[in-house]
Amino acid sequence: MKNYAKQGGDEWVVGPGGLLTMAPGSQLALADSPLPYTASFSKSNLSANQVIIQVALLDGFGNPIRDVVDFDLWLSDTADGAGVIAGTPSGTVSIALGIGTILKTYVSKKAFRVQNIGPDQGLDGLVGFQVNDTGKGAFYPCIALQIGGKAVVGNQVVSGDYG
Amino acid sequence: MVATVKNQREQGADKWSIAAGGKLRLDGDLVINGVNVPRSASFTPAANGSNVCEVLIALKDSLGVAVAGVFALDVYLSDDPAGAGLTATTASGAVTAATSGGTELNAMVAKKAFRVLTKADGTYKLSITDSAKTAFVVCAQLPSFGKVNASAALVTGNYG
Repeated sequence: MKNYAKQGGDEWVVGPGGLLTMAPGSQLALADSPLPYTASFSKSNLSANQVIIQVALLDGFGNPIRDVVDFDLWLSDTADGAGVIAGTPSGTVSIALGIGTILKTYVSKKAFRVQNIGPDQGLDGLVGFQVNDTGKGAFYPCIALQIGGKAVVGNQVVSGDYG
Repeated sequence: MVATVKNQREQGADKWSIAAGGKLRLDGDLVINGVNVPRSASFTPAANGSNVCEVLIALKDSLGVAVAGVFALDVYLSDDPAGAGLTATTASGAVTAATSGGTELNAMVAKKAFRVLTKADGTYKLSITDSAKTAFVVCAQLPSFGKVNASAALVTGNYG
């Protein structure tokens, strides 16, 4: 048996070769605080040559994470999120609409450490970032969550998504 | 006096609770959204060119099986076998991602500490050029569990 309660019941053991599986529709919480499980990406624009991506961290039930979370965000040319974009947008790549904070720019206009907006600000832990590019370059928005760690990749942004 | 149960399936069975004082011991794997969360990293050094050592870092599950996927992690050089602290030595040449070895997002400390992305196969290859062929310990802090994995110290023969 690879999953069992130790005698006395205070310790649950997932032994070597055992699995603790968080399937879609399940939630892992620490101290009653759901951990980010995945993310959703939405696209919009407010001006010419601009695209705004809003990233929402979601728990396993698909509900928005309301805690403040730091994570990596980057633009990639590949659908699996490997690497950063080869091209460079002509304009700024920055936080949009005041939603979130860039903690560190890893690669100018391409990769960042970001923090979502706090729950007290009423936007359910979103990060919004904007790309301004007269070339309207295509890219995949990507993030890596601390739990799980694997890249979560949004739908490709294409020319028609820009204003 | 009735003992408090600290690990239990709650009524309806949709929730497993670990109360204060309880413990979840994970010697196996945690699977989130169909992905095994990396539990460890292996380090494979190889000589490549004069004074160059390339260290292949591969993410593994609890059984030592490779975990595929693009992951963000911290990679750094230490002098300590357990990975405590950064190396006091600065390599004479470049320390960076090897060709087609993954993506360096940021050098947190030049030639010593980096934020990186693995390739889609869950590996990252660090290239170290150092004429002194220093016995660096290559370290990786994995996502989720946070513990540092450290390589054996490099030896002269690991450099070209």
